[in-house]
Amino acid sequence: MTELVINAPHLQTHGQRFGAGALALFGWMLWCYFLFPLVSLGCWLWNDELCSQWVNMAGGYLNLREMLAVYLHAVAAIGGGWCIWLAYGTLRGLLRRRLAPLPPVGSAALSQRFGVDHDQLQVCQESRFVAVHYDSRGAIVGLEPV
Amino acid sequence: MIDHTAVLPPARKLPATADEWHAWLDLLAGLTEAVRLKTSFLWGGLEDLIWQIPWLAIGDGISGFIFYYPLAMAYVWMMGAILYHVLWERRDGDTFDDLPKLAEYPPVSILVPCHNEAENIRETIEYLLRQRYPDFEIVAINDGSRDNTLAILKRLAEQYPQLRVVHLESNQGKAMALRAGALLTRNEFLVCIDGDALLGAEAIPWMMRHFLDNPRLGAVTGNPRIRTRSTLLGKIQVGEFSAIVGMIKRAQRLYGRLFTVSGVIAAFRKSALHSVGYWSNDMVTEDIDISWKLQLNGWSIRFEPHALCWVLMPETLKGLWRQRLRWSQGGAEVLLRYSREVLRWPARRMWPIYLECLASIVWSYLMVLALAIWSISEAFDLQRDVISGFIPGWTGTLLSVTCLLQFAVSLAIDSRYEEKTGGIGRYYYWMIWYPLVYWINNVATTVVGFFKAVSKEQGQRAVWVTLDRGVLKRDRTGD
Repeated sequence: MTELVINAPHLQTHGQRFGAGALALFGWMLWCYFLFPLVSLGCWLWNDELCSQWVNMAGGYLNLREMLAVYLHAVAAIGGGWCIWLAYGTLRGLLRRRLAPLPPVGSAALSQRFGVDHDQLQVCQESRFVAVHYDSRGAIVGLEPV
Repeated sequence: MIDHTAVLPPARKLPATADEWHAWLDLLAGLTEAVRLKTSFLWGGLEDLIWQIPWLAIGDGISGFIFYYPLAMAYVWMMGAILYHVLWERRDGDTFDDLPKLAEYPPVSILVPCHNEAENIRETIEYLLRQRYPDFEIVAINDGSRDNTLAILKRLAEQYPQLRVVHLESNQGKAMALRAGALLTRNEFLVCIDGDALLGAEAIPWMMRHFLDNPRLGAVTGNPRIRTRSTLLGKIQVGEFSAIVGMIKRAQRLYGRLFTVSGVIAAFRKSALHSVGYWSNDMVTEDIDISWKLQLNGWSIRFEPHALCWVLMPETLKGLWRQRLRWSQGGAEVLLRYSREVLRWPARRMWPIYLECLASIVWSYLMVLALAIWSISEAFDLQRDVISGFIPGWTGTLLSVTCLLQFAVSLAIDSRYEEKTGGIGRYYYWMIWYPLVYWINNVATTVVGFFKAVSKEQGQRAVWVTLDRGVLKRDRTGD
């Protein structure tokens, strides 16, 4: 039996391995790229002369404050929405009457739905091996227990 | 004004005299003039209307939607998943050690539809035999395989009394195989897995507890875990199934409606399936379709993260493209098929799910449009400051930080299920590629998939789609 997690990079072709290596290296550059504005903002907050050019290029501190205000309001609204929905769901669950389960589907209902012979179906439901034959439209035309 | 009716020739007769011909020509000239005047008026009105449209505001709205929609949805999913985790998931305890004790253990049939699964089916069946559930049978449905799947199944059935084999003489597709399985089992509860998936030994009790708790529960979907982690695509998918699939399912479970069960691992109540007519054989994704059919008919669906199922996924771009294209087309087909039913008041809880899916499709098309416009403007805008153009602005930073935060939260929530396989924290590094590799792929497949769904012939039968299953190609039959 194969292990649950299949981590076998050595099975890749040479091209795939080279590509994977290059992408792994390039991945660090992507991380730096995405985190660069945060780092430059941190530097600028620590010392406002340092990195001020980068902060301006990213849109400036005032723009950032304005955007963060909108962002926090939106996040709070989403959180509030979830809380209201949860409260409504809990209340609804408490008030809802419990429905009775439907009776299990018997072989008679199944044979009617699938258009097969009831007796034959019962035999097939007990069989260890069954062959099923179809017509061109996908309707069952034969059940063959072995 | 000329009164044309005064000189009209007798109806439906050709003019016989020169006067009548003149009358006809006058009439034609008058009509032409009238049409010209009318259209020039209309065209002028249209022109005015076009100029009155606030194009800039529309452009801002579209770019705002492109940017803020994924951002807002990331927080919707993230908060929903955190709440689900805190309120329900964390209390359930450990998957392996805190197995639910059920009041009763009704018999369960595990349906395994398979088509050309000779490489995997032995492993799948033998893994199923480890189930920590007292009363189950395995029904393997061989759907007209061309390889030796049937021979392997027959040998396994001789070996293991829990295994039954259903053989479809001709290839019918997964939905038809599942229908045959449902027909040929007596049990009310069906657990359906794919022929190449390994179902966790604890999965059935975790799923069955929901059915015993709620008589109007139609289905429970499990938690697919990726096995193939050799390539970059495989590694990203590990994160994707946690960060996107798992997170969305948790949030949707908290909301109360799911977009879809996972076709690779889902349990069903047969009476629910019977009431909605079982799986449709003309939808490319039978799992999305059955989820909608059940929920539109008043049945609930739940997500059970403890029901683990280990699956093989494509590790090549071609395989990934085909898989995602199928998913996108399936989602679009469902939207188109059930758009009328969704509008009914009793189906109102499906409205947000429907709108979200619709918004995703619109977003993908707008994204393609925006990328095209951006590329053109970048190509011709030579006056721009090149360096500042490459610095991600605050909005870009916000988007990337949100993305990284979403991955971190979801991997943290999901890590408990991978403690025995070495954890998933290390896949965080690879998730940096997700926005590039998968977003681009998913946008493209959504655009193409929707087009395919719209242009698909009505009633066309769905067929099996064989995808690559990772770089490990060795035979796992054990025969």
